[in-house]
Amino acid sequence: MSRHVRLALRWIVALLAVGHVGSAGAGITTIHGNERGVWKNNSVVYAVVSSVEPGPGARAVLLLDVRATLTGSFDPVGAESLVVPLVYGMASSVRGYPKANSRIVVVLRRLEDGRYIVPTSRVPFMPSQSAVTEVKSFEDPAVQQILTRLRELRATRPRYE
Amino acid sequence: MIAKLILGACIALAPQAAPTGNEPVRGTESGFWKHHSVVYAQVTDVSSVRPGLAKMTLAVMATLAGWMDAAENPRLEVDLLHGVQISAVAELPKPKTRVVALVMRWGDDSYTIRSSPVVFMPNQAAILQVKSFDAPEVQEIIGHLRELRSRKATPEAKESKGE
Repeated sequence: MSRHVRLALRWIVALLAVGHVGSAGAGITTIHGNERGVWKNNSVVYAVVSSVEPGPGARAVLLLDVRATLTGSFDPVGAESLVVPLVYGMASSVRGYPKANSRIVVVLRRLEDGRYIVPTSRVPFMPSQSAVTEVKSFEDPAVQQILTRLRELRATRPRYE
Repeated sequence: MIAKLILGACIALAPQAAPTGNEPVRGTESGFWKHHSVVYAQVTDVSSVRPGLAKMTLAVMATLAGWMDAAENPRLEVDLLHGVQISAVAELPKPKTRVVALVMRWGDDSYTIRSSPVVFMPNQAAILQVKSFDAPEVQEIIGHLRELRSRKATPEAKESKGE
């Protein structure tokens, strides 16, 4: 392979990498929690992670046993368990996936087809702005802090975005 | 004739005037979950209105079932009939205790704790004092509620869910 071809290939790889990171970064939106209609399709729930299936790349599938809803329309007793895909790492506000048997507070988004996902968005009302946070139990002060922030948000006027 | 009219009016108005009947509540009644929610809350205040009737303020922390949004409705003022003669709720919970409660909305902004026996609650009453969310009673209630709601394949249950 000639020197010129190798150089061209390096450039292509570098450009693709930059493009990938750039598009991923641009993809991280923010859920402030006071946008108009935001809670129609988003909920914040307390759940036990029944199992985790790490996928290819920075992806995982969580099996959640949702025990309670802090805000939103999700009905915790509507289903025994919930399968939820999660993207973590550079393309997400979530740094890693939670361990099996851990307890979490998580933002769930309902898609139009009825499935749920963990959004990749930054979430300022959650610790570290992550859509998933591990807690020791429901009585963990972090849960109360999230609830307090949600109450403040729900008491304020919606944002027109 | 007049007596029949009065009787008819009484029957028609009975659900609004007395949301606290003594028929057991099962959670599978038609349209039940449109007006009821099961919440985990802290009792912040209890005051007696008259013997057997109290007003209670709940700081709602989470919803276990139903329409209630814990963050949107952080403070609920509820009526509660208590005492073995008139209610399945034998005694009032104390302030600062944690409870699981079946809350019913009636009217625009009025809430009550049902006085009827509640089949899916461990104490058969609409309010249960618990130590924490991880108490076995809370998990037992969640299990019972899931059993109830998993019957969603039946038209009655779908209607009950408000679907």
